[in-house]
Amino acid sequence: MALLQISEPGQSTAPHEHRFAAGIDLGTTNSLVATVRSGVAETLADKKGNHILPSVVRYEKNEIIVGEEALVHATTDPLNTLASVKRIMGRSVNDLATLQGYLPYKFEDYESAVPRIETVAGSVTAIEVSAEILKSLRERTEASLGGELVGVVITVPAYFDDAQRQATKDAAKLAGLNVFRLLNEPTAAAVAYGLDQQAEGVTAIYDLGGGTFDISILKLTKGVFQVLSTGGDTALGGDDFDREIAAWILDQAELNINEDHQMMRRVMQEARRVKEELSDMDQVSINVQLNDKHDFQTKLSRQQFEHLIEKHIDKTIAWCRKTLREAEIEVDDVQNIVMVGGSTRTPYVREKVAEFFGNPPLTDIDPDKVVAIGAAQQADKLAGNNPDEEMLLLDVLPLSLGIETMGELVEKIIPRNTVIPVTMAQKFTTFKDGQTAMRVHVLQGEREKVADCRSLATFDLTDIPAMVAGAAHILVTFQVDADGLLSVSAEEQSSGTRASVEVKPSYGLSDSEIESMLKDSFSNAQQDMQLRMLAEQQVEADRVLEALRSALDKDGELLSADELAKIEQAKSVLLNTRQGDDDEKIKQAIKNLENESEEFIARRMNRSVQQVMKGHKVEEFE
Amino acid sequence: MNIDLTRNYFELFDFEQGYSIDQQQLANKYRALQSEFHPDRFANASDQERRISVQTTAYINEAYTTLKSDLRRSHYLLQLSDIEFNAETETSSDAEFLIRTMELHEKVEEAGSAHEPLEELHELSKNLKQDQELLIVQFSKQYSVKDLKAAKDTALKLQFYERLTNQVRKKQEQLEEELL
Repeated sequence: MALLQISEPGQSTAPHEHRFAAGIDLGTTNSLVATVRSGVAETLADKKGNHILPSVVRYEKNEIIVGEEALVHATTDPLNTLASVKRIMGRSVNDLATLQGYLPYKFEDYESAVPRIETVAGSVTAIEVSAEILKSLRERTEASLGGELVGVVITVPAYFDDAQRQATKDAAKLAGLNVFRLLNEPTAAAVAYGLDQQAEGVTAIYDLGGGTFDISILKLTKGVFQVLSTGGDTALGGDDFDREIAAWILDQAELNINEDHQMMRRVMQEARRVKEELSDMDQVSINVQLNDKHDFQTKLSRQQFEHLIEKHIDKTIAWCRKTLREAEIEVDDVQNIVMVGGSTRTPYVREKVAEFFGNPPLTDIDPDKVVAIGAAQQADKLAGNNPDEEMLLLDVLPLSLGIETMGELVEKIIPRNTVIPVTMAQKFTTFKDGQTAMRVHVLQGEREKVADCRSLATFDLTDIPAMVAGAAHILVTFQVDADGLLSVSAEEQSSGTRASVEVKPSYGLSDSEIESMLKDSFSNAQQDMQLRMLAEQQVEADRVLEALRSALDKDGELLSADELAKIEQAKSVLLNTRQGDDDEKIKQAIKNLENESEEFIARRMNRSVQQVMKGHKVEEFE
Repeated sequence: MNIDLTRNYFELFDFEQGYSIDQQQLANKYRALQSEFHPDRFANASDQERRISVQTTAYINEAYTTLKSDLRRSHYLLQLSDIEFNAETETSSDAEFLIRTMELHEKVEEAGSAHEPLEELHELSKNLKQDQELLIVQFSKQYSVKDLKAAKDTALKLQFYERLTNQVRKKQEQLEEELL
């Protein structure tokens, strides 16, 4: 069936060409990019052969360095070498207090709610830093594939809220990437193992990275993936294992090195090596050079190590239990357990997980790469490279959305774990005679008090017709799209007037800020920018025209002659404008054509719903 | 823009309007609709199509969630029969049931402070579920003979159970939280 099935915009230029798409795992510590070549998804290496790109960006006066080369400066020049910015994506200046321990940066005192980090090259936001990482991955991919990417799938933690998802999308936009979809990391991991191709079952994704732990319960029913619940701890990971070993070494050596950062770093590095070697060995020798040039030597057995880290692993198991209950799933019902994150290489972690679930976890795919690989497979499907393949990944809203009510309380409008996309309408009324404006505060979170939830945005509803108190009925519609992003519209019902909604993101960037960042990034190449915008509008115009052409072919009879004439008129305007070089005019003409055909599309949508139901024989539903 | 998906949820899923629903069929039809309209199918389409696809899928999701839930389906049927309904403020007028609700509230309190609170609460929620199932059967009967007044009262009872079950669950979560 086709709604307006053009779905292959490449058509106009090269219909059978493979369309380049990639999956990006934009991680806190490391990032990866993968793509499908000859039917196989694999991560891509940089020129030096490294697949993993440390998520580190270094700002120098006239240069920006990303990855390994930036990382070497992390200890000598931490203020200009930015790491772990994923932790502040979509966060407000106020949130930073709780993250201070992790981030040694200097934050600018600034009016905006978006934190800006001061560097020698001026102040930057986490979005811009992430955009540099994405740009680097994009360049790597395009160099490797020898062509431009049509789109990417970027993974985000399942618990990421609206602001964090929006920030991720904004970063992609700045990096010049077209985002097909933000995919939850656990879903991507399950896709990598091909679990989406299985008939049915419940999967647990156990993701233990360097600094974060996530557990997600996914349910699969005939090609539909559903995240049933997620849980985890943003301050629990393999780094804790390192710290335990380091503390143990210091204890053995009877050292107190509180202020000695150099020494601490040496001990931490040694701890890390010991941890990694203990994955394959029963005992590892430890050697740390002390400040008096003497060496401190000892040995750590695997058993001792396991004793040191046990409490951390137990904590992850407690989260597994809680998250299963939230999903209303018994532990015996979990068929597959997927291991993600470098810290799942520790045998004791695998052992404990296997013991809890009563089933050995899946570990065949490199736990560092598994998320990027799954994302690449999904990107390939979304690019339309396998039109026959069934694909449907349904996600849920990770955190409840609500609005502020009297007494600084939050009233939930869309509860967490609701399948998205979702639309929910809420009625509001005026409480004063002649009131023409109203402010709505949107929050996300599970707690009851405004102060305990994350503020997403405030909406000012204006132009409400003046009436007596309680007479105006304003219907506010909250819509969450497939990426988990919220949009809001409002209508005054008794008069039918649309109240205008102005969105003030609490800590995201407004559209105009993004726009101006985009402009800045192109400021040295004004002309390029102009050409790029023109090309973008032309592509969009082609898409719209092609979509409309095929829709009219199929369902033209849904229109009256009068309606058809109006559409044809708008169509020819667009055709003409498209030949010119004014991107603004093309944009206008597209908008105009879209307005004229909106009703037609809605009718087609309606008709195809009927066809879907009719087209299937009853048996198919049994 | 509102899509003119004027069909009610039963019509959308091609079911006869009634309380009993074949959940397996519902799930299969839901998948069929989703695989046609989900925004992922429109990853390369124009912005307008993507927007409409989001709206349509949202509608399909809402219909599915309503039909799937015994409680919501009961509310929806009453709503389609023009029965005035405010699940937030109204309660059942059955005096016996009101006494039962008080007892149940006490039980929740007791279980929460018992020696093994998690197990007690688990047991209690199982009992609540059994009660709910009886009410579901009752609603189904009342609705099929069009005794809508009685059906509404049963729906309100179901609503009470839903709230109480949530309370129990919250308690369980609090207790588990303390273990983390």
